[in-house]
Amino acid sequence: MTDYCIETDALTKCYGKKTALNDFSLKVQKGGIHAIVGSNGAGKSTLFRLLLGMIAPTSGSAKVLGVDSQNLTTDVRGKVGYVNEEHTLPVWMTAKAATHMQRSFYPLWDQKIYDHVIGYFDVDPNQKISGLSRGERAGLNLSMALAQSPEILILDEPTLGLDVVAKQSFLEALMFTETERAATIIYCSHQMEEIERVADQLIIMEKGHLKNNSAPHEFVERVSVWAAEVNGKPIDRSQIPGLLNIKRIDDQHHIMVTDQGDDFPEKVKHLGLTDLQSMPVNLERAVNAFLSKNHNSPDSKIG
Amino acid sequence: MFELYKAEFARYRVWALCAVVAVLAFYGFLAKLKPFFEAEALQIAAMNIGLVGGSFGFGIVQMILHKRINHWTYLIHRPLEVHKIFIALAGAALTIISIVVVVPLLIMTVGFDAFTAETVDMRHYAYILQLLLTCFAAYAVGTFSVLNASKGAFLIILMIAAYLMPNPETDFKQFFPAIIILAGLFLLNFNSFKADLTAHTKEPWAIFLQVSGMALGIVMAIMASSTVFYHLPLFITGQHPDDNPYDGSFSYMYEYEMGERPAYVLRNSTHPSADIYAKQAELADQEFFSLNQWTFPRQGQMYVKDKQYALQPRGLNQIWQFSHDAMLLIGRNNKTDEIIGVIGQNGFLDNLDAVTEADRFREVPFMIGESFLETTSHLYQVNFADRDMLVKHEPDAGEEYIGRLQINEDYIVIVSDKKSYLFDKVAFIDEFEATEAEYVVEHPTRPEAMAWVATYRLADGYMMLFSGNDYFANNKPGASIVHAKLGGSSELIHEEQYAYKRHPFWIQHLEFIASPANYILKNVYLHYIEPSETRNIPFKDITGNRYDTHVWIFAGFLQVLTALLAFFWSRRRNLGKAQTITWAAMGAIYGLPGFIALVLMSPWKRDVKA
Amino acid sequence: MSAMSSVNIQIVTGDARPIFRQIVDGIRMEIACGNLIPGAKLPSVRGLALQLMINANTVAKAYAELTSQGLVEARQGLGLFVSEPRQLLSKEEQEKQLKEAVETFVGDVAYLDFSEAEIIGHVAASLSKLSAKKKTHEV
Repeated sequence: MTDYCIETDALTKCYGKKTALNDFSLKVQKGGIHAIVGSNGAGKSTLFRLLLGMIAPTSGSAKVLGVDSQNLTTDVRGKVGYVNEEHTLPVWMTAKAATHMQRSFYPLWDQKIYDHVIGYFDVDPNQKISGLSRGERAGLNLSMALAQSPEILILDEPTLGLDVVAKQSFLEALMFTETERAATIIYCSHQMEEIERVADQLIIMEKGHLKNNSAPHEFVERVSVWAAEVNGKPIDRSQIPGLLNIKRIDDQHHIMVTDQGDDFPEKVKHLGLTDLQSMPVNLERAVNAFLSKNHNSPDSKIG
Repeated sequence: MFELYKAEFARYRVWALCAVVAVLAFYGFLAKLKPFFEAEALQIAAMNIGLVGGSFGFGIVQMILHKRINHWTYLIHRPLEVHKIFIALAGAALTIISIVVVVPLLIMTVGFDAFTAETVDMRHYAYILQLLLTCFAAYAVGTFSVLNASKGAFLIILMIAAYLMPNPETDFKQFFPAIIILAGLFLLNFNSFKADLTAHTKEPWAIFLQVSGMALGIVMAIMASSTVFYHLPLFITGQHPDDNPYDGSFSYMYEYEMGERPAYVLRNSTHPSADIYAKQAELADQEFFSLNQWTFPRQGQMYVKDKQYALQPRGLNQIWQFSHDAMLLIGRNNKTDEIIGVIGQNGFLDNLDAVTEADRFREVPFMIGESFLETTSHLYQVNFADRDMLVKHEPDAGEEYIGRLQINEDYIVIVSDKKSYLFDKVAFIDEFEATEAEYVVEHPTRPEAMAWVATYRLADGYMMLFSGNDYFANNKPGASIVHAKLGGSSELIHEEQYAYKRHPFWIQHLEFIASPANYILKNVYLHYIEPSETRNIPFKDITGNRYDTHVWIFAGFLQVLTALLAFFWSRRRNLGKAQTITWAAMGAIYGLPGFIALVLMSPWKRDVKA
Repeated sequence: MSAMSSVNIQIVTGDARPIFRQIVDGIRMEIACGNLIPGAKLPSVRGLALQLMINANTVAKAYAELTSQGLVEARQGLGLFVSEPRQLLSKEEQEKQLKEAVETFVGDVAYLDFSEAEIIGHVAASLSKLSAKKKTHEV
């Protein structure tokens, strides 16, 4: 039995001539919270749809709990929870009826967990779901997803549009609900603060490519920023190893690079960059630099 | 699965209730306006559009709501097999449709049956089933056209319309095809309902079923598109045959006023009085009568196919309806709603208890006007005031009436399969006695080859102009002038054969050429269902001399071409062996629609890694 | 002496230090300041994670780091306790850390209008306060 709960191999998905996912090989270890970040259109939704077998890959393969995504068994579907940003639920039903229906499908349904999680949210069971607030709806959805005792729980931007209180409850319920079987959580979010708090592993996607899959602090260590004095000479960007971006701030160039050691100043000496000072970098900046690497910005031309 | 069914049902139950109330209100309104079971065209159209169209729309809407990306994942991604999910959804929808279709109509039918003297037969109940099956089929086409990744799946609705609308000659032919079609549609739906909706149909059997369903719609689309690729360009360039009548052609006749047409037909006549006839026609009173062959009502036919609801003699407050269950006319008082008597084939009887088997009609008659009943062998006239019935007219031995009694300005006419019988109008209606025809004209050719006869009143009878595109059979147009003389004799003055000279053969026979298989299938099926409908051509006629050899060769060549096209297209798209063979076979069997279906049922964008 | 002590540390997101590092530093500071005395019981992993609203694994990782540094020790089935002070770091390691800390400090105060003596005075005062606090706990 493999230790990976999700495994993709050279997974590629094209829509016409647009490549949404490119040679994407990802292995997700069992257990813990794996955060996926990526800008819009990075291929996150495509990845989830491929994992759940809603579309077929152009090439490559994906496995969930060791089963090919194209032929997911009902057993595997029962073990993989999926919560999307809309919190899709049968809005015409009451919370109670929807829960009743959901319970009937899941043999491992744990009512204790449901009762515990729903306790974080103020959901009237007799209220129609269409009448619930966004936060309540998210709470109901999470309660059901956790009560299903999933082995994998995929959360696609679950706190999008939630207010501070609801978000707090959501994260608390997600992180501190004791489940019989520890679920592997795939958490997709744009909010770096959340990511920093919840993530054991950080998966970064950009334009259909896998850019990182490591613990967040290990990722931050990959990125370094160096400040250099502006000396009037143009910088040949192509010569800087591992360049993520350069920003001119007053009389300094802030050069952000990846996977460079302490010998970086030596490596760029010949480019006329001297007096390099290392600067601290936090997770958000590091991630943003990764995500915006190939996107044009007014700073991309530095004279 | 049952939980999902309940959830889906709960989603629409309020709508269903509203629909039931609305439909019932509509029925109630209709019943106030006119007899509810009178098959008034507008009512039938409204019910078909509302219920059958509504079911089609409901199938589309239901699946579109589920197909939205997040909703689809929510629906499919659960520990339940996909086919069970579909059964739950479709089951809920069919329940909803059944409620909306059956409940209001059943309330009306049972209500009239139990609380009025209105004649309500088995067929009135059977119609509910028939309507329900049609609604189910429309629903299944709706869901299928959303679920299937192909573009043209909705075209199947045209096949449903064409195949389920005729007036079948038996109950078996009424219901069996609907059940077969339903089974096919649900098989296709099952096959399309899967996690990945972007996947196109792959299974050979599914491809065959789907193409068979779409072929008729595609052929109709091809024929409609001939306006664009043929008619319009010719109109624009001024070369269209309609704008360039060709003197000497059949259609050139219509360039003339009606009174001048005999002259055109008689142009080459060697008859000594040809000129006189031509001149007389110009000034004569002109009328038409129809040679259309009618499907006589069959016992138990759907009441929506009834041509006339009842006989309602003026000033008597009586309604006489034909009961298919009893094979008798049953009369009731319009005011007191009491049964006032029955009419059997031997005449009036006081009540149902007095009826013997010999009294019952053998055939369901047409009811015509206020006092006529017509079967294929007898025309009866009823005198309600004196409670008497007589045989007004019978066709000559070996003949059958093919059309309903037609009442014109100047005369009354009944058409048999061999002759047209013309009667004096005043005497025919006013006198209650058996009548001989004033004029009897033998048809110069098969009546189904001609739609209309033009009549010109002469001093000593009628001059008649028979004409038709198929007059000389096998698509050879022709016309003739006949002089019907008082006393029953008639003289064929002249018969003229015309060149077709209109459209090239590939436009004229487009429906056949586009897909001989579809053409044959459609005609053979419809002919089997409703043999008396002459528009449906029996197999032996199609394979006979109907089409010239060059038409067959052209059609055959086209089929070989489409088979090859389908083969190479499939190969280029890297379809599997089984699929490639299936598609080549579709091209070979269905011709052009087979290939067009392949294009419609393939992804238009190829996913290529840039 | 095994009553649970509350740990009065804060974490901030968006800091250059990862959260587990912030916890390690924070607890070290608490121990250094004497807010956590040797033998004091640390909150459970889950408890501290709840308090800080972070992933429990992060707390576990911080605790593991603290354990490996010898600042805290696990007692079978009872939890984590602050160790008796002893130095686990090598002389060089200690010198390196001191040098780094001084450099950061100097960098922070260099531009301020204080004389060298004034700065050293402040540092000395702070250090004596720290040792005074330690002593009161030890008494």
